[in-house]
Amino acid sequence: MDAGGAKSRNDAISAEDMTRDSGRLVVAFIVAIGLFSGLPVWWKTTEVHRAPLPKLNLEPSHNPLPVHSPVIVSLVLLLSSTNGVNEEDRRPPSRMLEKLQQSLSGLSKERSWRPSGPMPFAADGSALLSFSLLNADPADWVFDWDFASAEEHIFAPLVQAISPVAELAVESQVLYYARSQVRPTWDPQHQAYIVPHSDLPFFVNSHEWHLDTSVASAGRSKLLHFAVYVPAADECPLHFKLPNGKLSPTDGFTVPSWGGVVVWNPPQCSRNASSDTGPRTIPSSELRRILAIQIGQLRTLFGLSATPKRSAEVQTLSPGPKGFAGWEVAALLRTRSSDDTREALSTLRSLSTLVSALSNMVVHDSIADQVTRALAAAGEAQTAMLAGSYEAAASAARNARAQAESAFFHPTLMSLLYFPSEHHMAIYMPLFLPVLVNVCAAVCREALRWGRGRCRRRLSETLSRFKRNQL
Amino acid sequence: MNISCFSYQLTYASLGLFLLLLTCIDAAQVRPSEAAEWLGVSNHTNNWAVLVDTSRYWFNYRHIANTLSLYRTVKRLGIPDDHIILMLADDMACNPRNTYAAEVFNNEDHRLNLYGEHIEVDYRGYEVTVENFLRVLTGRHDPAVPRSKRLLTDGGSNVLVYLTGHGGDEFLKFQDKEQVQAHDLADALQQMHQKQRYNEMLIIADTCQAFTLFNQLYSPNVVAIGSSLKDESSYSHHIDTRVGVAVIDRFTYELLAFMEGLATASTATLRALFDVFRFESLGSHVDKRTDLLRRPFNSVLVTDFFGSVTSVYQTEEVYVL
Repeated sequence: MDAGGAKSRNDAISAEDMTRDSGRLVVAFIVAIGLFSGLPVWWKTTEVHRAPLPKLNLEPSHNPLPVHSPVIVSLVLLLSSTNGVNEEDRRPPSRMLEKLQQSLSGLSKERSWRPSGPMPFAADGSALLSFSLLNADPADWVFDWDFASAEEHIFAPLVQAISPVAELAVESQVLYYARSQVRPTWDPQHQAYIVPHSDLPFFVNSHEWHLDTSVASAGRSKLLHFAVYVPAADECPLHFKLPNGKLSPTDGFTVPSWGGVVVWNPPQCSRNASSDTGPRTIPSSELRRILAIQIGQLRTLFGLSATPKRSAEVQTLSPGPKGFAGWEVAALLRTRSSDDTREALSTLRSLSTLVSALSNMVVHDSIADQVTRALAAAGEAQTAMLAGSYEAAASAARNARAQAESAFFHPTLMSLLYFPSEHHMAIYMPLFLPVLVNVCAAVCREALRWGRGRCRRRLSETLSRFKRNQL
Repeated sequence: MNISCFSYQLTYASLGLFLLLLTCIDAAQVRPSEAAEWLGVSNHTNNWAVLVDTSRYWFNYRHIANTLSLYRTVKRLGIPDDHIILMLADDMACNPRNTYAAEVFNNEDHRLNLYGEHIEVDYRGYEVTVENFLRVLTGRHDPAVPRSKRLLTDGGSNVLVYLTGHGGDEFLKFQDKEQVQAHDLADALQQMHQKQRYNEMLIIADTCQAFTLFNQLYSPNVVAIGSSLKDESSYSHHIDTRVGVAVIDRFTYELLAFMEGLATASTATLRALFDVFRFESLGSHVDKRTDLLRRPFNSVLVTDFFGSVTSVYQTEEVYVL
């Protein structure tokens, strides 16, 4: 009986041990699962996707070679070839170079008024030329123009000529009730209404000249406005004054990267001339002069002079009716490929800085692809530029810039919402707390039990040692 | 005699010093932009403005009126409409509770209808979101978004950003359901800086605890003015009993009172504007952040941001076709 009681007690103890051991096992198992699979899964699934960007080893020495004053370069080559300089020695003798430099110094000033301004087209090389005929007051007279034939005969060759550098598109419109903001003053000496140079910045009436109506100009495209202003009867004839006080020979001005304005005064500025109702057409000879001035303005927007500069020593090839001479296009092309490469590399550098600085920024694989392609194209452009094949360089540089721009401005690339760590806690605590409380409680209980068991065992050991010593 | 002699000496000395300085500048080959910074002149080539009202509902009438008042001011001072991004989170002019249909006033005297002619709202109603605001700043739009909704700035642009709505410690509420945080704003500006989308930027916030919104800014050439410090409220100015709600906030009221006296060629400085704001009239402390600006704050003109520059080049030759 006694022995059986002892046995059953032993059984109970071993069963208790077993449940204790299995309980410990279960707790350890759960903790292990949580640590070794739950935590990584949570970490992995809540991570933002960041495609690795290719390493940008863009040292300053890696920058594209600056194409120094390409206008001069092409002229030097032109003159040296005409003067019969040896093909092997492309560098003209220093005396000749000095003379050339002197005579070309006038020419090289051409781009100086626009210090480092961008070329007047979008990153992809396209621009829309929007021509507007503005009738200030239709009550006095209404003019129309035959723009379609001008587009065919004047602008089609021009667009073709400049196409290696920029893709230009042309459109036109006629606007009414488009008065200027400036009220000109009557000048009896010139028998005309005069706008001084200081008032020209306010000439464009952005509230009432609805120039920007094109549907073709979506997105980051570039729009250049060319306005022909037909003054009302109470401000006709209208002329601009140059800063030196003389009358402007063109009555036109340009605003960098915006476009240009030309005033056209109707012949005989009197209301009697408009006795017949209905619009009159601007005479074709007059329209030709207006458009010629505007082509000059377009040239200045591209950084050239309105008419090709020439001096006694230097003769340049005339662009003729195309607006841009071949050598000018070549010069612009070189400037553009240099600009494009530099722009692409600086964009990539900015992107790389941003992505490493903003850890919440999602970077899709397509962006990494674009960066890789842009880098490759920029490398190609540099190699081609060094080798002197400028057309290949231009197309590679254009590609590099387009890729870099679209990578940087990718709509998915938004580090939307900065998440502070308190927000992380607030989001995940409701999910984890119910599980964590139970697991922690079990771990604590097991730890306590284990500690108590050890304590009891040590107590019984000391007790038995004490008994043995007593015996 | 002595005095005049002394003044001559002084003149010569200063002339010599000036020449010496000029030589120094020449020797160091200072770039125009650096020279401009040194002289305290802004070298921007164009101006843009982003005017944002972030709160909706009738009782927030004053925020719409604030924003429209600023819109009117920058237009009057010469910034064209296509250089202004106007974001209004609600339409007060056509609100059914508005007894003055199609009109918005910022004063109980009703002398000026802010919703007159030529109002071009670029983002309205539910389009005014944190996402769209940050997209406008960073320029990351869907390709189909039209030009009028984009901030097409470049490295020569001075940008004015005006924010009004309900704010708190380092955040600004949008539409009562989301918020832009000080970190978001700072990161967006840094992205603009990286892509050279501004020359200088002035951010003005008229919200509660407005100044805390600028705590995290770290991009260069940014000036920030906030209408209240941490734990302070920004108050409304007065209630128009005929409209039935407050029509303008105190900070913006003082700002406009200052602006009304300015013309396009004004040489008033931001310092003069800043000195207008007094605790006695606002009930909150207006503070500014100028540590990121590279030129002295005292030299910054109000018209560097509120006005517009246009560089004009006359065409002096007729091209021969």
